[in-house]
Amino acid sequence: MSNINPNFSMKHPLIALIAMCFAIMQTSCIDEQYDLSKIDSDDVAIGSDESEFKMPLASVKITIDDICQSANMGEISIKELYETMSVWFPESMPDGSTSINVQRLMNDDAYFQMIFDDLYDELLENEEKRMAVCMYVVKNYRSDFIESLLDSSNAEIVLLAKALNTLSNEEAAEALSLAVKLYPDEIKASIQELSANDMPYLALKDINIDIPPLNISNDVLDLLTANLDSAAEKNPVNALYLYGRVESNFPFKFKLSPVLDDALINFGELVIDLGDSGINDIRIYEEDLETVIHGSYLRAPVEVDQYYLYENFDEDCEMTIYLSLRKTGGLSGFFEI
Amino acid sequence: MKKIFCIVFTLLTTVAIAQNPTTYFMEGTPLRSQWNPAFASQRGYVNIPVLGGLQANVQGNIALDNILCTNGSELLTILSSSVSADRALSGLQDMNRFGIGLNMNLLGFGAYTKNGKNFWSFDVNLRADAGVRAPYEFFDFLKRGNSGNFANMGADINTYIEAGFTYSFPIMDKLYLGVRGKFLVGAVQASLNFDEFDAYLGEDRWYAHVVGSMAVTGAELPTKRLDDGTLVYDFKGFEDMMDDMQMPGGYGFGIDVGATYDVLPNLQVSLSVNDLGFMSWSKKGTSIGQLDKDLEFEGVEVSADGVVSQPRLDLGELNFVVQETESRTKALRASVNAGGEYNFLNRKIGLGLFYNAKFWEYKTQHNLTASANFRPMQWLHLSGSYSFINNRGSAVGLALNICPKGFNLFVATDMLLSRKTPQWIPISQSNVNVTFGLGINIGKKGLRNAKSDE
Repeated sequence: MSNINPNFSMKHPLIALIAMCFAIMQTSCIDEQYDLSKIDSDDVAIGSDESEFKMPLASVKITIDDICQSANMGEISIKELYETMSVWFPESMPDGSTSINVQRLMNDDAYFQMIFDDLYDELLENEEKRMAVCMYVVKNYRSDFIESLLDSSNAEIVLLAKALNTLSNEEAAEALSLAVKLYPDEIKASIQELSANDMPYLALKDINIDIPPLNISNDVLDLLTANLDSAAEKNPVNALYLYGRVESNFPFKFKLSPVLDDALINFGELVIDLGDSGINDIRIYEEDLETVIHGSYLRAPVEVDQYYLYENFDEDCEMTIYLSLRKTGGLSGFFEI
Repeated sequence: MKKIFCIVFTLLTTVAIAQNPTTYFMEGTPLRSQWNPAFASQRGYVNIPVLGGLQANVQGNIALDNILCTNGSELLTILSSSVSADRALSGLQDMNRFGIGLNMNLLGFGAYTKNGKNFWSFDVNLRADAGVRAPYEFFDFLKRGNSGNFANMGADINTYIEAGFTYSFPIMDKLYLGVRGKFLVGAVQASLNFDEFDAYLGEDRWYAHVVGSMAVTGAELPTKRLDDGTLVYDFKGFEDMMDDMQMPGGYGFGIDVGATYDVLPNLQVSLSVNDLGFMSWSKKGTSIGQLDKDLEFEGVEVSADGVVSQPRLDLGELNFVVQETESRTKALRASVNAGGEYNFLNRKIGLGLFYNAKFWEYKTQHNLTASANFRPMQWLHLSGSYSFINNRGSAVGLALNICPKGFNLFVATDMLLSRKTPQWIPISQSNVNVTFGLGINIGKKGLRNAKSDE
């Protein structure tokens, strides 16, 4: 230790030079761009800004018992409703189409008139159809129908009206059927009035279904929502959308306006046709998804737009609404760096 | 799963500033005997604690600029959502490996015997090494996100204190043997491995199948009981391990054996095998966990009658189930070192070639180093080297040893000329070594190189 000279470096400039070279070499290769204290790790994510992720959320099955009539027929399924109401539909359409526009039938007098005229022409030729209509009238509207016939100027029809009071349903229907054939013009207006009065019964009740909580953990929720752009962002990179599709084998074209009530997510008017139909993207935010995950309530006002006369309609008909999530951008909130 | 990925990625982005091949031919430094116990320093010595020998190294096949990238003025990780998948994955390998090592001398001293040729030394070192491996498919999944299928991803950490006694002696005039026996006291050992990992994030379902195992000794991990009664580890991060260290975690023994032989007066060859031994990690203080879980979510099925099915998607279910503990014995990471040096101009200049093979848990790494050594004065040694790692060109190393009477200062690194961060971490270099040593020389100079020193 006593041999160490404190002026060592002064007497040996070579050492100082070598040490200085080491220091210069070390500092000369510093790249400030790679300053580790300035690593931006806030947007670490699975995927990138160009990514897109999709995730199933729920499938909601709607059967014939879930779509019900809303007016005074009582709560009957749509199948029972149309089995009943089909008495007023012709076997073949006057314009050759394969479907009835139910909304026009309910709201457009000219369209209703066209359909009824076609039906009535069928009644004159088709005994089976005629008997079906007459039986329906006799069973459901006997007294109202009798009253309308009593005002007729035709004495035979007035006699028929009085006789209908005492006959059984089958006898009354046969008598009425014969009268329709003999006096079609005199009886048409009365039957038309009954048909027109029935049309509002085609309106349907809202579909209401409870969607239970989704067992999705907060980890997954964070993945989906941690980096969402705000609503003010016009061209969001990180955004979350609800979308879906509907599979239906009902012989109808429906118009549905579903709303997830608790989440106040309004899907707008959806056209659900026989087969597959899409549900367009609806942008949602973290609080919306949280509400859906914790359970919500689907309310869907529904109306029939078209009824396909020749498609199968049985107990197995159903509609399934598939709801999914679409996330654009990466899945964040996964790493804690 | 979040915490597991956090651990893995933290290790991947951590670069430490653990042996430097440039030091192999530096005669004046006591650290040289760590390569080959037959080597001896020029004089007896007493190391300054901690500063007496500090070696840190990084070894692997990915560098910092494979994990970080610049975007204008920003410095981002490759997992940043603003970095495209193609750019992020372009610098990665089929299997990405990263290891760090640290060797810190806590106590060290040595001396020649009376004959000036036998040399003994005693040292106590803190040794730590960690390695992580992650397949390309793991990063592909993280960047593209829709599906992933990979296996054999994992990490392991070993820390222990090593007390070693080295004795080097001549067999013949030209042949020296050296043996170093080491008693090891384990601190912490942890290993984590994912044998299978399948994930699918699709429109019809989200699915994950994970099979893995973990073992930790030296730190008791917290546990929790699930609703179904299963006991699982509730591991949140390294802080859990640090909060409840239980040392010692185990004991072990290792041996280094080596030899040097002067083929010619100016040509010396050397060979050693190091770290033959084992560490036995005790059953007490060991936590063993097993993970074998499938997560599947296809959405809830609802009808007007009620819920048909209500699957669960909870990443927190990916827990390691507590298993019965057992003691574990693991082999040390052995290495083989072989070298040759030809000296001329009265040993003032030497040209050396050095081969090192290090046996990692899952791969063997080969290192070939060519070295030019300058000894303009007896107390001043300079070395420059170039190393090839696994058949790929690696780095330029430089070393400086100042060893007059009284003290011994040694500095060596192979990151001198490389591009570095302001924190002196190499940016494009996947293998880095930094060595520093400061000690006090004692006693007379040894007589092993007496003729050439005259």
